[in-house]
Amino acid sequence: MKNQNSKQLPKRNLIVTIGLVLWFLLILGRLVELQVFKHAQLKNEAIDQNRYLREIWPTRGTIRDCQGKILAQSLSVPSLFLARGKNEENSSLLEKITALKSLIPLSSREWQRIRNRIDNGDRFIWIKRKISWEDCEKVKQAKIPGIFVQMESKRFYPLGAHLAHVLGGVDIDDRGLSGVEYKYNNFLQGKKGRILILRDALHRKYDLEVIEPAQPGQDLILTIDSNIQYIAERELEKAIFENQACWGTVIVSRPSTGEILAMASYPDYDPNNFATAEPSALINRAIQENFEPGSAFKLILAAAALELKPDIFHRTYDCSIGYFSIGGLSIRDHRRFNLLSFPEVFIHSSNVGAIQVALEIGRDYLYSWIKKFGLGEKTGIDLPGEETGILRPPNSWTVHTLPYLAIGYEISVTAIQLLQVINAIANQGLLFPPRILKSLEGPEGIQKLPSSPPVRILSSYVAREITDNILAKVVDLGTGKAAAIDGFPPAGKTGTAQKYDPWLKTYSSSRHRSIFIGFAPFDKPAISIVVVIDEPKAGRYYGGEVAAPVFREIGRRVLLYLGEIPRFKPEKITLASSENWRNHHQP
Amino acid sequence: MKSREIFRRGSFDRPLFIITLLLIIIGLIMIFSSSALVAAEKYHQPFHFLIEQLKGAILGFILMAIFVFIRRDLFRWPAFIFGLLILCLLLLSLCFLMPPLSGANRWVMAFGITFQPSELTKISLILFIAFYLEKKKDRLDELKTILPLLAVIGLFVLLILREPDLGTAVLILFISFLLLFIGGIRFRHLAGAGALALTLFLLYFLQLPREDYRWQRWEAFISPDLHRDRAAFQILQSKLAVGTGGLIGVGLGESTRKLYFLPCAHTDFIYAIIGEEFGLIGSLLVLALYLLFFWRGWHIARNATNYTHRLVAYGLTLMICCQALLNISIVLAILPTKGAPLPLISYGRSALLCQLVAVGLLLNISQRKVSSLIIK
Repeated sequence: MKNQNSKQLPKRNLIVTIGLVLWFLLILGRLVELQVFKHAQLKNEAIDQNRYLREIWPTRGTIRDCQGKILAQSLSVPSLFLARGKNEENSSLLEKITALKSLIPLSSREWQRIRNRIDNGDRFIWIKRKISWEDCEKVKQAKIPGIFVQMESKRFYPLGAHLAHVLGGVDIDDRGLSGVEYKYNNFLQGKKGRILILRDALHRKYDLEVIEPAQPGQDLILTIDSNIQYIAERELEKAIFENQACWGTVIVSRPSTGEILAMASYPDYDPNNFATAEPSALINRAIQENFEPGSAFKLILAAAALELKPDIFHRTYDCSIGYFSIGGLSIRDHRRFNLLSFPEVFIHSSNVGAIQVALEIGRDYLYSWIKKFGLGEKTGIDLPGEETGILRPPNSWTVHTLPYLAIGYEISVTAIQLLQVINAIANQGLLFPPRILKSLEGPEGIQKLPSSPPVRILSSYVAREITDNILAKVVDLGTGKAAAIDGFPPAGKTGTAQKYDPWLKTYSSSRHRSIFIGFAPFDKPAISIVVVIDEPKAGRYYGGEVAAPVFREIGRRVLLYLGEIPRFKPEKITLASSENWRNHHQP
Repeated sequence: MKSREIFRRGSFDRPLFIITLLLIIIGLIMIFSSSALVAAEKYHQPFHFLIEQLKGAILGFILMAIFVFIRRDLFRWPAFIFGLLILCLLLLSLCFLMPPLSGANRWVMAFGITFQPSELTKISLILFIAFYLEKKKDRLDELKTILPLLAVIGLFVLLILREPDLGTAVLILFISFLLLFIGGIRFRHLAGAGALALTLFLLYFLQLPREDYRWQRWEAFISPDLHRDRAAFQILQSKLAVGTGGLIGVGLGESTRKLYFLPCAHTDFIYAIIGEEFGLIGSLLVLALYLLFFWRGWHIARNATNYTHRLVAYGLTLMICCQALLNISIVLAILPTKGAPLPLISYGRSALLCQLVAVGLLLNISQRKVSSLIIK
């Protein structure tokens, strides 16, 4: 027996040895397979698991006025989102949302959207974005698993509705939707960066690598002065309420550069709540509203006539008949005149006289001058959605068009186009295109924007003649007396247009638009202002009655604010000087 | 012509000792590398696991030295063999009275010491099998001689299976069968016992609920893609770790899988971290050390002076090497996952202690030689 054992033992342990050595070889083969042949594939898979590429959102640029005051800035705000756990059921997610519903207000629409996303099986669901810090704190306190807070940036407009139309607004993702936010979105938004996050299996970061840093957006410096804007908005609003008007707009600019100092439009909205704003309130009436300018247009007529015939200045026009008939159409003056000299036709805004002037210079010539002043096309102001106005080419004109055109009908303009016209006169014939962006400020420093060179459209002689002998006298003697600013003699032109009634297919005798365009002081213009008030319903409707006082009030306050010295001590203005104070308080 | 055995103290097998030492050193380095971060977060002490393992190693070497220098032939001393067996039985039973740790009764805790009796059971069973076969070596062909032996093995396997510790149970069964096979048991009997054990295992497995982790592991092994997030996660991570290593590895301490991706990075899956940090070179080096261990163990067994010592040497060598091969096979996803640490390397003080004692016993046998002088 022992022999048998001794024989068997070596044989059997050889079998075991071979078995184990084969096992060793199997492992060796597997090691070579994994570490040599599958190395690249497995390595990439492993890298995929602990590296995450994330986008870094840049900070959106700040918008400031020309004094450096912040008009729009991005602030950090919390947003809530729901993350589905591994194999988490819809019902469990719904429970969490229901629990949340008692903490923060959720509208039925939001509720429905979240439910749809849950039913879709989405892993990441926004619950509510850009909520208040109080709500966020409440949710944090509740400690509902699966509900997380993500910081986002929200656009904040500290001045509320002020300058709303110029600033515009942004959507939930901070992309510009209108105004300069839209126009200069590319500069404001900056460039997204990329970051590589290394994480362990518990999704905790252990290393960060910035592949591409985010470039913050550039700051915009506007030509707007928020103080002037405030004055313009206050006066506009006051006029709208006093006259029970539909809408209105005021533009204040510096004629020597074309810079817009204020642009007010009523009705307005709060850009902080852009999404809920009334659609009609979103219209920037200064650039997006076409209207017939009425008598304010006669300014162009006068300029054209003077350019064509310099001696026309000494002509007289018989306006005693009081009306003008052509092809069954009758246009009347607002009051009876006698013989009027050329300047007087414009100073008193005689329709009969203006039509005679227009007929004298002819349609083609007048048309070419309308084009020269830039009507019928965009001024190119750096705001989105600008209208062109409506100017029909002469070949589609009817027999009525020229006389109507002479008094500012059958042509539509925008307020910004009128501003461009009055600025060209104020600049003695040089036209500076209006603009609203002064400079861009980025990490590389301030980038001044090159202003486009002025274009001469009018000889300085004609411009001066019109200013001194017509526009200044409109305020002195004519229809615009209400525009007279104490101490700063202005120049300007009134306009009153009957509104076209699409129902009656004729011009309404009860609905008007009051316009005043002008600048001050007339001999050394510091500011130019356009005022448009639509449908004043409180009785008065002439431009000289409704729009001119707005011009005066804004002009007076803005000129003093800008540090302009009055020609004489104004009697009607209370100056904020210490002397004045003493006189008042120490009898 | 009866040869006489002499005991030459200090003449133990040097290569085996050096291989063991190398494995322990690699183990300490890799335990630190793979556990420092977890230890720092859990115990605020990155050296936590290293220090604990070092304590185990020092105690292990002391025990090893004691066992190396015992002149008395422990392997043929019934009191020692049976005493050890009964001690194991008691300790294993005691496990069930202890509060379960992570759902298993594998440990005995007393006086601040935690001990895993199943480690000691491996040695004790090997000694018992060798002792028993020696006693009955003239009647090994008879079924009735081996039935009591199979019953004893079965009892211990069942106890360990109840803990539950599938890995150790399978390993003990596997080593016992190999030992019985080498020992000269009739192949027919062995095959019968094997078939019986397999049937019982299958029945045990089938009665487990489907949600049981052992089922999940099995399913994950068969179709890893379906179980990407759960049971297969460990296997997948282990493969990723080994594969990432490539030829030369990512370097000591640079493993990313140990950042909670790979559970048990410092215990059952330490070989994956070796593969990741040292690549094919490191993996092969460790594999080669076990192969050398196997060679030296076999050498000691072949030169042993008697049947008992020979069987004990085979058994203890198989105990270390089979466990190593089993562990590496699991790490490389050749076999389904079950708990089996890498001997002499993985973190675990009870296991390390017992494994060093096993090496000590092997070295003890290597000192027993046939005296040529006496033959003259």
